[in-house]
Amino acid sequence: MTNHAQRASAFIHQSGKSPWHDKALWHVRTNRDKAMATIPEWEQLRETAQQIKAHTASQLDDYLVQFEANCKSNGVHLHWAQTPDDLNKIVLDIARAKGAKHIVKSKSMLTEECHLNEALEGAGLIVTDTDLGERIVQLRQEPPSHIVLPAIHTTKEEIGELFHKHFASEKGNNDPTYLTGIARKALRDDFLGADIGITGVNFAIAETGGIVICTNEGNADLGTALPPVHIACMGIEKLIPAIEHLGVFTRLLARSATGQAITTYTSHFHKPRRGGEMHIVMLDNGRTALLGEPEFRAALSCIRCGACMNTCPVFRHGGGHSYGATIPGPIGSTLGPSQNIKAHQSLPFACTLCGSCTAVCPVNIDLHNQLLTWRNRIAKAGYVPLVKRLTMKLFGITIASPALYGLANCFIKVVAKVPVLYRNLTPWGKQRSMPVAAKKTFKTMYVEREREQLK
Amino acid sequence: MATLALLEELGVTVVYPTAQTCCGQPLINTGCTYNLAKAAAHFVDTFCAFDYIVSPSASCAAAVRHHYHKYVPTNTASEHVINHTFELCEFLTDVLKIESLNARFPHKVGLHHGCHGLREFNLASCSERNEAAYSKPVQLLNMVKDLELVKLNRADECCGFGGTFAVDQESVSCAMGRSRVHDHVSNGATVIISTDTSCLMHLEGIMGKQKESIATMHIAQVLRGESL
Amino acid sequence: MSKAEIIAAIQKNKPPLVPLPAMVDYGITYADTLSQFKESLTSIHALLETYSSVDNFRQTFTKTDQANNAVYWQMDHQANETINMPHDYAHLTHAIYQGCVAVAENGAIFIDFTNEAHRSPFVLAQNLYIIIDQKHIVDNMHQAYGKINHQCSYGVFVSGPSKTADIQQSLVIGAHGVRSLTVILIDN
Repeated sequence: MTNHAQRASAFIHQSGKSPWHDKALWHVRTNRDKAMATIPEWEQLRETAQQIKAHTASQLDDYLVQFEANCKSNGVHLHWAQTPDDLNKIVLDIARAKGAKHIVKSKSMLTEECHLNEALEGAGLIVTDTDLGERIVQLRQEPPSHIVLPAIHTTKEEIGELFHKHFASEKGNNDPTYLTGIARKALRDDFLGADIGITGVNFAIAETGGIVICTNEGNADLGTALPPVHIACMGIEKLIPAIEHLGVFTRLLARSATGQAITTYTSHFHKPRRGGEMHIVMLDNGRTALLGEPEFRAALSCIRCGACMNTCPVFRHGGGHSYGATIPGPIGSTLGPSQNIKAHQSLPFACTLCGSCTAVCPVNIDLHNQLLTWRNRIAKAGYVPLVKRLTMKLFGITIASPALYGLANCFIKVVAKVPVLYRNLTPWGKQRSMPVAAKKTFKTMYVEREREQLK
Repeated sequence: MATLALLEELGVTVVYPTAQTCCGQPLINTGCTYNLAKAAAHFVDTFCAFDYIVSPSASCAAAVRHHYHKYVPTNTASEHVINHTFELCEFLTDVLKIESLNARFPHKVGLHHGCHGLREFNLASCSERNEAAYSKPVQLLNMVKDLELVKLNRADECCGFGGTFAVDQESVSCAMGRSRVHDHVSNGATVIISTDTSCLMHLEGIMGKQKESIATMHIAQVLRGESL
Repeated sequence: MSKAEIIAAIQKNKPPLVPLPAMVDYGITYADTLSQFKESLTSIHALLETYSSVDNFRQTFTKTDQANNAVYWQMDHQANETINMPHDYAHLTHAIYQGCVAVAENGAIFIDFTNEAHRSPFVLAQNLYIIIDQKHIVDNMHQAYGKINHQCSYGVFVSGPSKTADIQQSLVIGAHGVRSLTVILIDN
């Protein structure tokens, strides 16, 4: 089983993409900063957004019940799913009842969490991801590496090759406009021929039973205007109380994600299209458990903007696939362990605790503090590697006693004199020169100085 | 030594209690808190008799001020220590409130705002927030004659040290370190300074194995006008 | 049944009540709202034409309307009701809508589809036109949400032509939706 460190190392030393990936994502971070600078009330917006989400979580049961009642009076079918299997089954049952063969899907990290595509394809259905970045990774048969920019790790040369293989585009023509045109034509046929449109949900409104979907491409709108069946999949934490609260979130989301003032399409759905039907499937999958964790429940406020990923230097240098989790980056490193602490034990340590993520989060989630808390939980659960655990235990004993501490310092001085030993004690020396041990420790110099002054 | 000398030059009576060991920050940061309570208690014992505790390392001071309350019993001694532990720069600007320094440092300086100092201690405004710009380290550096601060491309990006991260995630740590070094060097800095020795040790290590290499110094040394 | 279990789990785990913050309109306001709106339109790659009335625009447009154009006018409700399937609009070259409210801070214009037979023309056409009266431009999204139909069956804030930057971060205008958006500003 590989962990984050091993995968990140491969990305840095083998793919050759690390500097380019880092630069691309820093550029997105810079765009976010520019957008933020145009809004003097930015910090106030963040606080308001945080409070709206915290309030909703504290009354989530009431809001869900209200949401359900409103969906019903709008003629929308609402389904409750506790596990990914439940969700997949609900969607599959609808598809079978409709005799559906072809499904178009706009971006939904929730459906990635459930591995919905595999479930549907396993039952003989064709699923086409329509977000261009998602379509690219779908054809490459890999998961998205970023929740907003799914194919940020691919080059236009790789996409050119891919489209040549799948869409017979001109070999060697890697122009983004040309390639987008190729995808536009191919996906248009998919939209027109689909039986069902599956979407995610950015925000669900308790007071009206409505859902909001934000895209730049218009694929959620095409995917719901054409097929006669719309299935929207959402986590229960996507709820907000009222329409007026959308003012806060629509002003924060795109600016945080890409630096745009707003996404091209901010689409509000209350009823199915004429002659069609609309379903909403709500998923728990550990969210209710997370609600009961005072130190981690703020993670439920996440609006999936990806700003934390764009700013995180570990994400930028090591790549999104290094996390081995549906949601990568800082938010993924706290959500992942909450769903499976064993599988994601290395993620909270894939972090220098620099705090940049917390500072960019539009809903003020204390991300780096959560990662620190997770480290303690993971250590207590016994998942920290033996050598590290023993080293830290020894360290803890040593620093509680001045005598032992003094001895340890002497030991290090001795080791520092044997370069071969010093260099190879830890991986520090692989790409860095060793720190030069001072001739005299501070303590020695101080004690000498005190003696001098007494004379 | 520079921190000690600087404080004494500013008229402070400074004592280095020789019984001190370590604040225990690595235990906190790795989540392996075995014996941390004892280590923290020893820290409190060692330092509770003093008016102020000053550290030339923001991350150590942060460990005490922000995390000790979880590991030590609440009493007068621990409360005093937790509330009176300062990083050097904030001690100079907020407690001593110094307005001038008798120092000269005629060099192009790249300032590395270490993350603990920046985001935990608010030593400076951070680029992620929409807030009025300020920086206590810069405020102090502006008192040093002939010092030129270079403008960096990424003003407050992490150097990649991160404690045991430097060893456990060696590849990412070094990639981050190289990125920082390049920012300083390409913008004309001849020396990188910081409020945190660990950041400097890491960047020095990176430069030790590549051609692009400049000096590193702790901010205390620069504030004393020590030579490059 | 999943619903009962989920609700029970929430009731067991939910934190003590956190008060809902009051929604005061503290959003950004502009000295020259129209000017800011025009600036926003430029940054989202939307085009702008100004007319003194909707009739003026329609006359001008019809004069330049070429034989190979297939044009959808939202305002021609009776005609639109005769179209069977949303897919029938696949060959549209132009779709022309009436916006309800426009937002200066981001250039977005809200289209309400509640009374429309189909939702597809505005996103299937190659070119989109949205008519908006100058007096319906507000400064920010808080104000905009105060003016739209909260119960619209389907309503969209449209901010520019469709776009993507998924191929090596290069911005391409015209992803799956329209390739161009022209805002028709009525300034009577």
